[in-house]
Amino acid sequence: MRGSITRLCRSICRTGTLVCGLLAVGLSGCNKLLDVDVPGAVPASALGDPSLMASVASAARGELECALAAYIAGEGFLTNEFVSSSSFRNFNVWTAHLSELKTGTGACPTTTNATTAGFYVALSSARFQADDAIRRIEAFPPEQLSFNKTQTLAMLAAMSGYAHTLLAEGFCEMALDGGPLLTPADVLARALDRFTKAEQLAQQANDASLRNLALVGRARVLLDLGRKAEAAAAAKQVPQGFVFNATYSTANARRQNRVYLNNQVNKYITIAPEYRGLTVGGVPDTRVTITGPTGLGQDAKTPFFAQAKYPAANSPIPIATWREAYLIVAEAELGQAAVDRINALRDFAKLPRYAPADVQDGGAVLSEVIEERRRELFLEGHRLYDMLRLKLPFPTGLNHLGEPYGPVTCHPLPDIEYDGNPNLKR
Amino acid sequence: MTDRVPRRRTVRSLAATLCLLALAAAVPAAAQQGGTLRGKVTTAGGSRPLPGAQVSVAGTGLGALTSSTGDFVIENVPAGRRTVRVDMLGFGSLERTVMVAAGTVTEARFELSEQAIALDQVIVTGTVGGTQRRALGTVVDRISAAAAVRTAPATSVNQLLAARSPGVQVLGGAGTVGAGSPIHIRGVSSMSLDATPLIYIDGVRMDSRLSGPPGIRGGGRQSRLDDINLEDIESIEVIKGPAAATLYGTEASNGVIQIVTKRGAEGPTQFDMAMRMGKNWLWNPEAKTGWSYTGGLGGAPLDSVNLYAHERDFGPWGDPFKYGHLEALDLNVRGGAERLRYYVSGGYSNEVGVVPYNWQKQFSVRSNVDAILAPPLTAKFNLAYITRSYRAAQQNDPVDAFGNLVWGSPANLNTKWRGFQAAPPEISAQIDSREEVGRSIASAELRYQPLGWLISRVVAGIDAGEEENAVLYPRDPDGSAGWWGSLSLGSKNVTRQNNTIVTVDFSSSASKQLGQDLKATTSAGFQYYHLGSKTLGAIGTQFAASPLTTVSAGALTTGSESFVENATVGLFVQQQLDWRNRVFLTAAVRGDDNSAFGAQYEAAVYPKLSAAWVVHEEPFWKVDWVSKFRLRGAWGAAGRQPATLAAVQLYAPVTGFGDQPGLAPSAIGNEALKPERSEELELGFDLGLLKDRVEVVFTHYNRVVKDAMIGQPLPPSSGFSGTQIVNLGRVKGWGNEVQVNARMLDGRRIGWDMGVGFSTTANRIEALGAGRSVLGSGFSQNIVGFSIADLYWQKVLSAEFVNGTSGAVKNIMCDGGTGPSGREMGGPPVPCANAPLVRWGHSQPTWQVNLTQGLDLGQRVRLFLSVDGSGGNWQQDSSDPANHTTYCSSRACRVQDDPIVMAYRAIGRNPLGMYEAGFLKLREASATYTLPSAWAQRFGARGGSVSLAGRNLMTLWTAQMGWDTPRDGRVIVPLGNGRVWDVETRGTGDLSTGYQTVMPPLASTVLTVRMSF
Repeated sequence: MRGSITRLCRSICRTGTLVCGLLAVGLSGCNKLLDVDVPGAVPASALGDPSLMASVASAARGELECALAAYIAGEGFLTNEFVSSSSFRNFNVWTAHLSELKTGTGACPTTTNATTAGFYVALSSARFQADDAIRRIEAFPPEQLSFNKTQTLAMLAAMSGYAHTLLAEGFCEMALDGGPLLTPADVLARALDRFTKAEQLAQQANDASLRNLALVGRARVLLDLGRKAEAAAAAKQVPQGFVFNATYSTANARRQNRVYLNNQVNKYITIAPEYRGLTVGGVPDTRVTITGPTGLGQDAKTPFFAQAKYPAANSPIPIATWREAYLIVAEAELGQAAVDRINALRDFAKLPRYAPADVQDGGAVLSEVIEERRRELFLEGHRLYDMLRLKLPFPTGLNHLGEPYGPVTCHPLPDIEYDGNPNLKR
Repeated sequence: MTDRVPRRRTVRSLAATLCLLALAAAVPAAAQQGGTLRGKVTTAGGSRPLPGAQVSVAGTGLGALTSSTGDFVIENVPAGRRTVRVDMLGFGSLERTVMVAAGTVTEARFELSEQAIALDQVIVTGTVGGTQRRALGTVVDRISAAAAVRTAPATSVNQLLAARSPGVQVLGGAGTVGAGSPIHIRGVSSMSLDATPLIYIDGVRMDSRLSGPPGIRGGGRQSRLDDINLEDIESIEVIKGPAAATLYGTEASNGVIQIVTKRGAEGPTQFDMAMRMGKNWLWNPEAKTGWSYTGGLGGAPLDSVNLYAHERDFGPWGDPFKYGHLEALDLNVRGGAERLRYYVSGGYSNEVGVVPYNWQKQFSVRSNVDAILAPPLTAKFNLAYITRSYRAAQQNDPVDAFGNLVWGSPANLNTKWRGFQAAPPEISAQIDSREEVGRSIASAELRYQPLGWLISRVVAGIDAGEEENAVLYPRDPDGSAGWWGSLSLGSKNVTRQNNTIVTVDFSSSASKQLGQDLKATTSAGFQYYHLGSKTLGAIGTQFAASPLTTVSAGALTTGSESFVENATVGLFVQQQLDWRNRVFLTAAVRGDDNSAFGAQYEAAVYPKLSAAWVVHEEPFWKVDWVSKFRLRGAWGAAGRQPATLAAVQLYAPVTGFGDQPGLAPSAIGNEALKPERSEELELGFDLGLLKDRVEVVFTHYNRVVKDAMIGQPLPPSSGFSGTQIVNLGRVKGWGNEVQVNARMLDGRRIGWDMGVGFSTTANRIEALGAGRSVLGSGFSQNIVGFSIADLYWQKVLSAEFVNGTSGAVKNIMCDGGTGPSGREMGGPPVPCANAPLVRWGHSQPTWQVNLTQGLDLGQRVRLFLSVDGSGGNWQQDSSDPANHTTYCSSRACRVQDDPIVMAYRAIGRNPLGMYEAGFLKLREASATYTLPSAWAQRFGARGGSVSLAGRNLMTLWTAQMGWDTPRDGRVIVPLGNGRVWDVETRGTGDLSTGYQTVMPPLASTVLTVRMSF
């Protein structure tokens, strides 16, 4: 990598030591002694090679997929989608202690039985990697790249958009690129930019799937920002049946579906009572199929309930779906539009239809939409921000272990960001 | 009597023949006509025989080592007046003229005085041939390992080093047989780099890392230093700080330890055997366990049990902690003539811990040869091979008998858990966590002295080791419904690491007499070190059936490989002036370049100045009762290199989308990265009083670490996680070391010697870079104005129950902090939400003491005691807060009637389990009996000894509980009435602030039989 005995000689000779200087000159032919190999990584200086860009883009998308699973496996503690059935402290402080939660970093886990919960590092890394890949790929002309540049940039812009979105939805405050403190609204605005760019690039690349991904993302952000009409307009462009998944595999622990691992495999989490035995009109709700209790969780104390949505380590997790797009339209427009969208979803799930007493009763319809979102988007990473933006109550009192629920709603910015970011002051 | 002599000769002849075959060299027999010189070497006064002393007859090439009774015989000594010289490490030298007559036996008796300050002793200093102690401006301690192991029950290098040199700390550890400990010299000085000194063996650098199976519990890692067979070590030299270690360069600011192995001696072949047997045990586990509780909450009746006692009395397997045996056999043979000498050894040991699946087996062989190739060219060849197998007592949490006991609960008492937290002991025992080591260390030294004033030396050597670390979870018949969740489907994680350290060291010295009084010596040298470390990892999970235990038996398999390489090149030049052999001035400079330095950094240059004055040899010195007085002082610099790849920004391969290859940011790098630079001023004196019956060695040092590397946290928003290593820090350090040795009684029938060593060490962070005064946000932080890794947390002063006299609390008030930084305790009460993390104390010891007593009775019995301790720091047993919260098995958790404990549960539980870690322990006690010659001869031996020794026998004092502390080592933490099993328990991290369910140190007794043939 580096090294030069000539350089060493020069430094020693500067001290005026003649004898050593002479000795050093004699050795100056041995510069190769300090050459070392780094066969396990690529120096950043080598990334000027366009043939490496496919790998940079692949890593960025993979990071978002990992971060999404980590996000769902973490935020569910706050939303009561699940509760801890683990004896490991990292799972048990999640709802209780604000100060300890702030010390968590939440990188993408690299072992199947990882005992950490959190997602700040994972989401930040996914955001950076997507933006970094865009910056690097944009510097190369298309002919030097082994892939469709426009299509890849569209995909990366959408990944960046989702990373921004999840950061904004999950954290009370945040920073980007070591910069100053930002509000969720600031970051959602940036997410909107990314989705807009992704939609344009997907259009140019004639990739309908990527365009729909960007449209759902845009609609989600607009809904988060309270711009309901624009949200509905974007969501209405998404065709029924559209699904864009984050993919998982059994290739290694990092690529596995963390929700499945923490629930079925590690038994660190058990599905909360609020999601057990749900029905629609007396018919079991197939969107929230829960089995159990089947023994105890890893802590040997807590009854274990398993979710059926992700039955394997390689089960995909939806990033964007027509179901979400329909519910965005329903929430934005309420009234008959909402009823129609809800019933389209119920029909798809083979559940009894929704028939409100008064379709114009906005409050009642909105409540139904919220409940539909809770069930339809179960374990898909939407519930936390729904609770925040719709001011739904968070659990209080004591949890199943007798520990008090803490004050956490949105996630505090972890200490590690404050520690390292010169633009932040506590 | 007469029939025994030939048998002894037969043994010696056989041994000699074996050696000759092994070495493929002939030892020339001394066949001159002459007489026999026979005698004994003892301590001054004659109360104790000195085994292993070298006796040589000048100008003849003849010599012998003394037997365990101190006796020697040299045959065929040419008749006439002969000068006989006796050398013994730690006792100086003695020369006497003896008249030898042909065909007769001449008796000679030598009495040597123990000397810690042997001024003419040659010390390994980095230059060719070493330097006499009198010329050194720094203190260098030399531990006579060969002598120490005869009376001390140490079974590893770590144990031998502990408390034998002021300022050298071997930091506690675990009760896992085979586990090692970190070694610190003069405390810690770096905030981000390890504090381990450089270790050399016979002039070549050796691997001394701590390593262990994947996921091993904090206290269970082995020390590669302990691979070296204690019985092969002649001496250990400790070079303590940057001022002394300048010539060792960029990696030496933590000090240097030089291990010198035994060598052949002129004279007839000598065959030595040492046999050890003993037991390990855990002191008083019932009292240490205490009571675990359940119930209590919600008005439920409180129930409690002593889980250890319950399992011992009612468990299907009885006592969870057994007596573990240890056994060892060491054999060596040495001898030779002037032109060729040899030392060949073999050793085997087997040690079992207090759980039967914790064991360590070691086998080693060594061959050291000294040869005069063609005068003036001489050579030394050293070759050692070691195999070591180790199975850990504790895999990761919660997979061990001890941790499951500590975190157990009576709530599970009548279930299959039998009260243990995750699994009962026999289930934990199924998890196989082990390390296998094969290691070769080879070196050759050529020394060439064509002229009396010019000498050159080259040492080349290699330390090549392979470790295989593995942890196996067999498949449970119940699959993932088994004890360990997904791991019960079967899992094996194996890493195989090859480490190679190459050393090439050339140095040359030229001396010239400048007039009658002044002598100048110029030295220069070149060193090259190369480290290569290759690791292959494989993981297999989800086995098809229970008997399958290979990685490839897993339905899911993954592999990994890493390679790390580092190279250092160094040059030095040194000029020494010697005035009348009494005043010495030395100036030196060393330069280093290293592959780990940043591309923008050139090279490191370390200067040194030192002076020594042997005052008592001055003509004006007339103070009779001060028999020795030397002043010394030195200023010098040394460094610490960055981690191998810390300077380079790297993108690492990952599995990306669709399992396609990906490249992701992994390390941010720092192109300007340079080594930490430690500059130290060391001042001291050596004092001999009352004809050296009392010796005092005192040293004070002041150190400043510039360009201190700190791991500057990277904000995750930057896209890189972890830290960036930057040279922004500055740390000051200082300390005092004193060693006093005294020969209280020196008679023929009784001798009494004692030694006291005491050292202090302190450091203060001066800077952390512009605009930064705090590094870290957790329990252990680096804060300007305080010491490295001090402990900080909120201090609860008061709290009120929300309802009644138990349960949740409100109005929690904390210490508001005081002092210039606002971080000292003693401030006004403030609501905890606004309270700072105040300083609880140091995490690293600030003082260390050792006291030894030796009593010699009737020339055959030696009784030996050593007491040592350290303190000034706090530790946290974080098993305890878990019992107050997560596992809720403490009374405080169950009854919830302690508002302070409840307050810590609410605001953060770190202080639960904290205790003052100072202690004094009766470390070693032994009785050694030297067998009468007649007894030894019954076994065909020249001599022998029997020693009974104990280790870790009693805790005398703890900072937490004073002199009334329980003798088994446990301490009670007042906060929540928590229990710490042993005050000395420690994790193996360099800046360890605490530990969790680490098995406490074991006690042991060892019976050793030594025979010389």
